[in-house]
Amino acid sequence: MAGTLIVEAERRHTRGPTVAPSFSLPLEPPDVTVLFGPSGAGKTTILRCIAGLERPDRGRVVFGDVEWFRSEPPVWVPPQRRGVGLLHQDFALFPHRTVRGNVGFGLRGMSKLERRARTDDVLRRFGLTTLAERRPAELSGGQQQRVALARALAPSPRLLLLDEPLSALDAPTRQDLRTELRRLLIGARIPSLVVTHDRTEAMALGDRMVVVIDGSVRQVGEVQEVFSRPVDRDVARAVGVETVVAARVVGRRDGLLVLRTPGPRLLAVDPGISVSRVLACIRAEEVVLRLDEPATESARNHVTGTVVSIEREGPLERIHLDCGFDLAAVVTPEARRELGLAPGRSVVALIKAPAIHCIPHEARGEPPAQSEGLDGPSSR
Amino acid sequence: MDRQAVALSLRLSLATMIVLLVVTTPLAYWLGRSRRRWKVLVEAVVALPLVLPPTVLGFYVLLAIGPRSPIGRFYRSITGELLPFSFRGLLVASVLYSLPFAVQPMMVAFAQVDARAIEASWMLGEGRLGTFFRTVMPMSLTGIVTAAVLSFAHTLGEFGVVLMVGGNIPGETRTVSISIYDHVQALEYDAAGETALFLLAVSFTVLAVTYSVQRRVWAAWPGP
Repeated sequence: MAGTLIVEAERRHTRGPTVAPSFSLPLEPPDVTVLFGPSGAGKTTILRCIAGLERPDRGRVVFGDVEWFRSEPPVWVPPQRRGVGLLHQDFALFPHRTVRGNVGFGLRGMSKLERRARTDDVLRRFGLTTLAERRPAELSGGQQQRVALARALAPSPRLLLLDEPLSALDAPTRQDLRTELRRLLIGARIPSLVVTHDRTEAMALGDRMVVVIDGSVRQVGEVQEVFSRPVDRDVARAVGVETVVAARVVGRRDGLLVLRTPGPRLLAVDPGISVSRVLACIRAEEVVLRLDEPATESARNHVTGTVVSIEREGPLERIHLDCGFDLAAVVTPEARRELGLAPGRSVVALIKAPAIHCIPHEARGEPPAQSEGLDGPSSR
Repeated sequence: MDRQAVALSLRLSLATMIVLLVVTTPLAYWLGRSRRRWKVLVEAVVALPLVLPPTVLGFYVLLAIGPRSPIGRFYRSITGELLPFSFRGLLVASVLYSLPFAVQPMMVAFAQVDARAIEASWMLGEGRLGTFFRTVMPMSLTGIVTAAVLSFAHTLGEFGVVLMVGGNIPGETRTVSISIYDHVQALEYDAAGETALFLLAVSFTVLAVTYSVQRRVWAAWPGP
């Protein structure tokens, strides 16, 4: 089920900045949309306004053909009747209920027998059957997250919101769960919106992203596009990575990955990735430019490209290259003059293998390796 | 031992406990979770019986429910009876006297319930009342049990207020503590001692059982 989410709202806080997002976002599963921005940018406020836990001071919030909030004339749909699932940052499981009790909590309007059957079904899909009688305190962080997700998805919501879903977990678990969470989200076939301030998380979980800075939306687009082509300097600073290339792992050897990109093959250090699709991230500072192919060099990747554009960036200049994919580099004005860089000029970019940071990113078209998703609302 | 007085005291304590649980739950919830600044004034009023001498409280209650007060007149017009020196009058006084003992444990418990658990319940389609009964109450069970036990035990032991409002009518307002006082006044130390020992035993048992229950409650529902 798809729907367009329209948020044109203003929410003032007595302390902190005014949050005034304005965006219209088609949410089409299995696409996962990420609401990205630095801490304090107002992402969570936006999420809470969508959920109905906060009421904007003015504006409107619309999803699909239903108006959830409007200031003039007043319209307000309470959170209970929005059909929105929310995954809290720390999962907010009910400590006094078992896993089964938590997952079945939101199922209503059905007989006891139906509810039990539906709960069992959800528990099975999320691999929670063996944990059904445990209490949240007896579960690991990752298991708690799965329970919270199962609980949010059990009533077949129209929209799923996730607030920093991985931040409550310790670092090793987080890494493992990024891939799993994306699989679950894709499998759930419910429009989902993930709030995060973590770029790795944004890239690992999202297909599209909305960048929020100082309470307003600055850019909306495909994840890769936003990272490689930020619209302004604020967004560029927020995303922090200048080049993001979708790649496929075509070989592994000695702890290195061979990546097939739209341009030349790249060699990257393997961070312990099991999937075949990755997003390769390269910071502009890590790219060294030369005019000719060096005889011997420690950097493993020699990429030939054409200069597309040159932008001034403070004391430095940012060079955009076309190497089959967009590659950004920063150089000093002297270096640019010495190399005679100008649009159309061909150069060689050197990138060390450890400077290419790979983030697993399962493509949405591919069937997930282990399908654990829920049925869509159509199965209701 | 004055069996009649013991029975009356238990009846009064039980009735007070039930009335207090019903009446103070919404009040404690509001005090525990509201962000209004002037709620401190309400908190102070609720806590007054903790610091006022029982005689002062009893005196005001007596005035408030007396036949000349609006409450007293209203009550008389309905029932044809008077509130002071009756079991019901005693009940009103006991409820006020034990109010802080019921409100405070519940208030603390309600305040400690994680707002996110409440929001999670809303997001799963549960209304405010349902959220209270399915989420807030079970998560505050220790506070509610404590409130019940304290208001029961505190009423069982009250003296000054009973003396002011209830007087000393056997079977109607003569509670255990009054009975003990009477026995001592009459130099009947044996009878007083028996009743006193009984009161001590009951109070100790109730508190001991409560604390053990609380322990178990906590062990079964460890926080996240």
